[in-house]
Amino acid sequence: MLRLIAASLPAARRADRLEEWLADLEGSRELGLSRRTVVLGALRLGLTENRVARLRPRTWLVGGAAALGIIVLGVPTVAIGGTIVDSARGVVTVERSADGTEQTVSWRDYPGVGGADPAEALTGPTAEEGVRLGEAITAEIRAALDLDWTEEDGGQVYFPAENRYGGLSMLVTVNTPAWLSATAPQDAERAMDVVRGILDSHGFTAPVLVHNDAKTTSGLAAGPAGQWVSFTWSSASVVVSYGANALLPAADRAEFERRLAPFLTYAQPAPLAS
Amino acid sequence: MQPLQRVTAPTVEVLRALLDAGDPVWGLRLVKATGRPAGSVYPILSRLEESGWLVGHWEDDTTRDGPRRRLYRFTADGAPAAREVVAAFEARRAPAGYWSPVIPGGAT
Repeated sequence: MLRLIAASLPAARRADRLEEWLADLEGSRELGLSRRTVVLGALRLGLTENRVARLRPRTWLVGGAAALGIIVLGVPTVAIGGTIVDSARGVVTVERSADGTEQTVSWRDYPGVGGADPAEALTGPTAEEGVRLGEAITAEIRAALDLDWTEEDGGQVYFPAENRYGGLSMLVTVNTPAWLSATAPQDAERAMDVVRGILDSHGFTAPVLVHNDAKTTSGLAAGPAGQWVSFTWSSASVVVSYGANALLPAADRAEFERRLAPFLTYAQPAPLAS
Repeated sequence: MQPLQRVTAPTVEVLRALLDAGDPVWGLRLVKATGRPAGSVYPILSRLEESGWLVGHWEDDTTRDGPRRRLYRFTADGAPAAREVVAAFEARRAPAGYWSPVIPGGAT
């Protein structure tokens, strides 16, 4: 299981993380800790470290479209405009009007996440609704597969998200506790069909499956507004978890709209590399 | 070293455990010391390391076979900053003992 989780990490971190987890697994008994806590901890860290990678394809798509917008559409009120990146100011849009006046907008203060449509944060589920949805979906999957399940020990559910322009977003990343089964379904294909049906009923895509080796499969299903359900399926167990990359806490809606408004005039610059 | 964007109770507990230990600490021992699940502690260690508060290194124990344990210690700037964060967190606790889970705005 640890090797499987490590395989999903960026290559630069894979070997170190795996060795650390294996040493922790070996030493867990010495500290009176369960081996399960190490596995679930690794799973949580794997999900955390993969969040950016999961955003990447969509980010490039939206970022590319935004860049195209700058070139093709322009911004009618701006006589000469441009996006500048420098180490002192970060990402800024400089607007020069016909009369020569200049206004600078710093994207470090952007309340959304670069590369993502901010409208999704307002029309999609709130962070709290996301957590409830994640709990509902994983509950449905657990009930349908009828296995003996254990929930990962409680911990942090909401994580701060960076705005990808050098600042902190008002949106949060959600990772609900993972569920681990004591056994695996006898009929894996039928069970996978059941999971597909549940995910489809909630507007999630069919899981993209990665066969890590002969015995283990990882899957990731994408939902609306950057939500996802991840699972790892082996001959011994199933691990299911829910997360979302950038959801807005309900209480922050008005402030988010207030801080977002000045940026809506401008095309989103390409996010900084992450 | 980058400032922490948000300081949560688990983060403070990890920082406090590292301060109490003084010496480099095995990551799993921090799980034990804080009583928090590894699912909370591992990401915190990763975040603190990426932000330049901690540095991780492999244990230098040649008497034990198998994978090496990862130890964590403060960077030169990390230790004083951690003391400030822990002190600030304690100061914000209500007198009745209410434990605020998150300090909005963090330790900046």
